[in-house]
Amino acid sequence: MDAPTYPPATAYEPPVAAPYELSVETVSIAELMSAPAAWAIVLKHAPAFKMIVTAPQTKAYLTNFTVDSFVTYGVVSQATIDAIDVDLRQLPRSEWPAQ
Amino acid sequence: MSAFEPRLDRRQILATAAGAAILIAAPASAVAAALAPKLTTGRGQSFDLGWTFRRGEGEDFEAPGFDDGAWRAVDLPHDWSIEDLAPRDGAVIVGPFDKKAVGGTATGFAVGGDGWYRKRFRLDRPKDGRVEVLFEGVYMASDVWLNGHHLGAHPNGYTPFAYDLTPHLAPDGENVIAVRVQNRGQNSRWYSGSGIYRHVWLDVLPQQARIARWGVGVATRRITDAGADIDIGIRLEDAAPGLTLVSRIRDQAGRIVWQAQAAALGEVRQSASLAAPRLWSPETPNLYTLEIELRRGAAVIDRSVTPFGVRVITFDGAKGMTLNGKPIKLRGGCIHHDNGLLGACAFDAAEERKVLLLKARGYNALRPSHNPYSPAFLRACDRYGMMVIGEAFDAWRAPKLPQDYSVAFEDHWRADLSAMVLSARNHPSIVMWSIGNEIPNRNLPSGVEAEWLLANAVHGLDPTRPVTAAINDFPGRLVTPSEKTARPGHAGVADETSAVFLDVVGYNYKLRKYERDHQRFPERVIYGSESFPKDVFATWDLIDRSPWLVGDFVWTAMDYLGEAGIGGSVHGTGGMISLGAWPNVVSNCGDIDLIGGQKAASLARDVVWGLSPLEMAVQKPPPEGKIEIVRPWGWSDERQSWTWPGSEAKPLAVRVYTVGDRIELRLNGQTLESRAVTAADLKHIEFKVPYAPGTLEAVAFRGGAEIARRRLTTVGAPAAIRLAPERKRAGSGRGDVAYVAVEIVDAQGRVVPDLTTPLRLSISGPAQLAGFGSANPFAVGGFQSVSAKTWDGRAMVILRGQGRAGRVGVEVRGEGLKPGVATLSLT
Repeated sequence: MDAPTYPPATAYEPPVAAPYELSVETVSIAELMSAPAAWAIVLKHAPAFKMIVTAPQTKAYLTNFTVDSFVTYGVVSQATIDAIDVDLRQLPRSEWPAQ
Repeated sequence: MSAFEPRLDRRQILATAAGAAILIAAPASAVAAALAPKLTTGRGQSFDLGWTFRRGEGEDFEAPGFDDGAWRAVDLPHDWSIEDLAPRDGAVIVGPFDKKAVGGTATGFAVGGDGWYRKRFRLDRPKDGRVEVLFEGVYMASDVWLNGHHLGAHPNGYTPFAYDLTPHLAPDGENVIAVRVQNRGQNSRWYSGSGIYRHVWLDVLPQQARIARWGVGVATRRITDAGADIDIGIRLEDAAPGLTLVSRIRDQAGRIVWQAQAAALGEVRQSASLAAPRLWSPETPNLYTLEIELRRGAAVIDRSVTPFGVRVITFDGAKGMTLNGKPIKLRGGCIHHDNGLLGACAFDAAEERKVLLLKARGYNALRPSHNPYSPAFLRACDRYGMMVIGEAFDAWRAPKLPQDYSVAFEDHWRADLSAMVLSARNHPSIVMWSIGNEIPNRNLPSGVEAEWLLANAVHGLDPTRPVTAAINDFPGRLVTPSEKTARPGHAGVADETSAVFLDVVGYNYKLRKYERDHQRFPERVIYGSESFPKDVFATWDLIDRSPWLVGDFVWTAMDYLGEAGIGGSVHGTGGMISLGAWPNVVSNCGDIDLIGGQKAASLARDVVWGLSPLEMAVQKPPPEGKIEIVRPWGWSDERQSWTWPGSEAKPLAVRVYTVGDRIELRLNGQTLESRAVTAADLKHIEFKVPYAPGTLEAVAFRGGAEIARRRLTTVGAPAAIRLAPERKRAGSGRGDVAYVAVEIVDAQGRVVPDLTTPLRLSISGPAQLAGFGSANPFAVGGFQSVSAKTWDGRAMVILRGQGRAGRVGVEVRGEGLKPGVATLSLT
């Protein structure tokens, strides 16, 4: 058997972003916070996020978290996240977070 | 005969009559300088002994003429953060813990600050040679001076670094090296320790030409029925005409199985063939040794010795991971680098003990989080067969804490990454390199570029291992890399931003995403880089039936100082649970506790991993009106105990872990219940049993046949202290430590659980107290005094050699208890 090798690439070119649909899993909390209409949807269903985003444990990670992430930590229920998702998917593209 | 002297045998020096006389007369703290070995020509001479230390900042401490006579004598490894703090008016201080410590729960309320080390040493400036000092690890930011000349600064607290001393050695041979260490502000999310907490080495080479530091690389290229092909790369510095390289490989018995000679150029590549090689694996951690000699004629002017293993590891999105052609799962655990009561001090024996404790509990893989570990730790992983993810960083450019590594990342990441990879690449235990843990902003364009830069740099340094990272939560949106940028075979293939440049993708706490992501990205190699302890059943149920899922690393395999109270449980009335606060100082999320004891989560893992067919534990009864609330990284407070005075007739939760299909529970010989264990139970069921003293017994059956039974018996009153040295013989050097377990037992010799009682320790003979304490997750005292308290009926004594062999007596006393005594032989 041959050992695999992992050679370096030759140069960096920014990867090309693909189109996406707005949902609880496709945008970070930081992005949602940057779009007032989207963030209003989150807070409507889960006011706890107002406090969560200021907590020292989460503040540094807002680009790493989606609202969906918090199901894992038992902070919000899957039903709440599902409700946020339904509303986010109906948000007009003009209200989406800026890219 | 070689002119080269191998590493000094310190014990030979210590055995001199003069040295012994000094040792007997002087206290341990004052003998360090007397023990320091005479420096001679050779690589890797210990530079650990004979330092002086002062906590705090001051003027002219680097000056060679500075009078450090009032400073404390210390030997390395040393961690000042684990030393007891002086009392302060109005401060809440317990041992080394300060309620107002700037690190807070993150560092377990331990205190950093500034510290200075100085060491005088006699070494003549070599006429043509080279002298270099190597620090394995200093936390955190260090500056080093030799004879008042600033040699350099190193901001990373975990990577090794070296300085050339040659130009600044004193003409009269009397030298002073000074090291300033700064551990300031909020810079760590866990207990880091402070100071020179790993070894320091000195190389004294007779000529400028040498084998470059970390310049030897050895890797398995191919394994066939005929043997193994090994690639060797050797980088030389200042190589001059007329030099030759002699390379040889020895097997574990010391026999030469391959050798070659080549002209010593700047860069030398060799290929070795080994017939019928003994392969490295967790089950058979066979090692070979590559010896390289740089010669001028018959004289050896430099020499390196590199242990390595012959193994081939592959990863595949569909088939998972193979080791030497056989499928294997990473039975993994995350750990932090502290050694409990010893703080961050990386004594070799403590590092080895950690590996052995976890190996004994079925782990075959560890993720040293989130930074490079000591060479001693990696050597132990090589020797005992523990696979390792070598991880570089917890932060890149974006901070997690105001003074963390992010402030140094931009200028130092490449050097630190190189130091990690090049210094550790020959360890067969390392199976992949992690470029980061839960890195903030990694999905932003700048983060994606950083991911590529780091992954690509690792591939350039070591193309034999895959690159991974631990990705928490949001993996980012789909992007498509170009031909120039992509990993081989992945150009034009859309992937998520966090994963697009990773060969193997680590998932932190995303068990619910594994199967879905495998469907979405069938070529992705997935493993759990962190998981909650309570998910052990579901996680391994999925892994065992999913070839594509490579394994899992629980957070954590062992308790550590800091991240205080993220695990464990509290008693309350319900609702949201907060993480720990003062006086929590321990994470309390480990399978193994702070002193090495097995916790209930580990019992469950024993069953899940097939080490045991049956285990049983009882939930500690919550106070009346309260319920137990388990923290996110916690486990219910279960004990292997049926001694619960005050709970008579109350129903207690009895948790049974089993691979059986039926459990029969008996109390005092009467069958209470017989219950089937179904696949849906995932190997664990709970009974409610009204407590009555006596014997509780669980019997496991499979297919109608009994496969195991476990008993818990009510014990009597505490009667005696029992001491149990983990090893009857241990090293006597200042770098050697030995562990003695302390247990409180009843008249029949059974451990009395759930007992906290004060103890007093005395030691006779050539050993010094290095640590005394318990697994208590709360701040209840220091670890370096002769007084401590048991927790759950247990404590631990850690002894440090004083540099001479002899018998050491340990006695532990407690009120109303027969004293415990033990004798160890330090050789």
